[in-house]
Amino acid sequence: MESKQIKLEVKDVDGRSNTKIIEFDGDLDSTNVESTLDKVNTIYGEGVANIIADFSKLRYVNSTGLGILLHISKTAKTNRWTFKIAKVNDNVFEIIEIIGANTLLDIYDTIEDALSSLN
Amino acid sequence: MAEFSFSWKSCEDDARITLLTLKGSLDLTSVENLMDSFESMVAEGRYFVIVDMEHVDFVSSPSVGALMGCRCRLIEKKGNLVLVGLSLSLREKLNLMGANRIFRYYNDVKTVLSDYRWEYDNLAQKVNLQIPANPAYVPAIRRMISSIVLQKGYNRKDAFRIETIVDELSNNAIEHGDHSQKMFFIEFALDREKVELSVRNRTSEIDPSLARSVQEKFNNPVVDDESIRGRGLALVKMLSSELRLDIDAGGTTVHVTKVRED
Repeated sequence: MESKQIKLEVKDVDGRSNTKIIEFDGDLDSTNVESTLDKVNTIYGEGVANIIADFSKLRYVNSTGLGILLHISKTAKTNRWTFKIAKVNDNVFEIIEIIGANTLLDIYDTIEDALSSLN
Repeated sequence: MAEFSFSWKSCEDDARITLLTLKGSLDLTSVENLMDSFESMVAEGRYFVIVDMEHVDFVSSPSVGALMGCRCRLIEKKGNLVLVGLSLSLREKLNLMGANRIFRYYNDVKTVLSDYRWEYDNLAQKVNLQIPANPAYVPAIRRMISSIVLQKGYNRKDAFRIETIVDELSNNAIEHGDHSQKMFFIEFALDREKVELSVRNRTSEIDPSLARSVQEKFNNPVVDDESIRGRGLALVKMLSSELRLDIDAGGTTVHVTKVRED
């Protein structure tokens, strides 16, 4: 069952069958990290090599949420997949920066920038 | 329409505040008498006035203008004039005249006093919470505290940081508490300059050597890059102005002070 705190919507990318955009809508916290991880793993398991996480509607993230994002990013690199993040709001970015995760996560201003980096 | 009358007296709970009760129909003629009394109030140093409108059945535009003038006089003296007891229809009428952009409306005198003491005495407002030790309750609690902070005039960034602190400390209290205990506790106090927060859990008795080890880990949190968890305390430390851990026979309490930043 998907958590009430967050909605994840998966979108296709024109001309890129191995790439998906996941829109995070809500709060990523201790109540939903496991369901979020399951969903992302399922998408990679379906033959997707590139995921772009659209954070424009992600209002809040806590340290456990960031821990999961770092775990996803690391797993993707190990498997030669990519996990990119775009459109992070200022409050969420501050938390990412304090944890020092901005140097470990692949973060872009826009979805277009993230897509371009795949070329 | 009822004939206009008014009376004023010191507020029973705080003599620094004057309660001005208006009754009947408030037109320009009736306001002229009121203005004389208002001048007497100012001369007596009564600079904070609550106008009780519960029994007012009509207000004219010029009379509202006169009240706005009174408020300006009091603001110059570092006081204020606020309205209580407005009926829905009177409130709508005042809003059409733009009065809601000038006056603060309150439901009752008690709420005015609470705000006055916050504003002028810098008195902290406090909330004590007893919460089921289950992570599912934490999002609602952190959002509630954040929205109180926001309502009290703190900026969005401060409110977000306080939300984060509440979230991280609550999750830690649940994770590290004695799981047979069903509750953890938050004491929350805020004034115009700072937020003070204490988050307490209950634990079985901690022996002195373990307490020293816990205190050391608290003072110098180490983040394991390989682990999904364990970053919360480091985050709280960066977001807080002051942070302290107390360990006693019944549990642990983390105290945080977060100074307002705008």
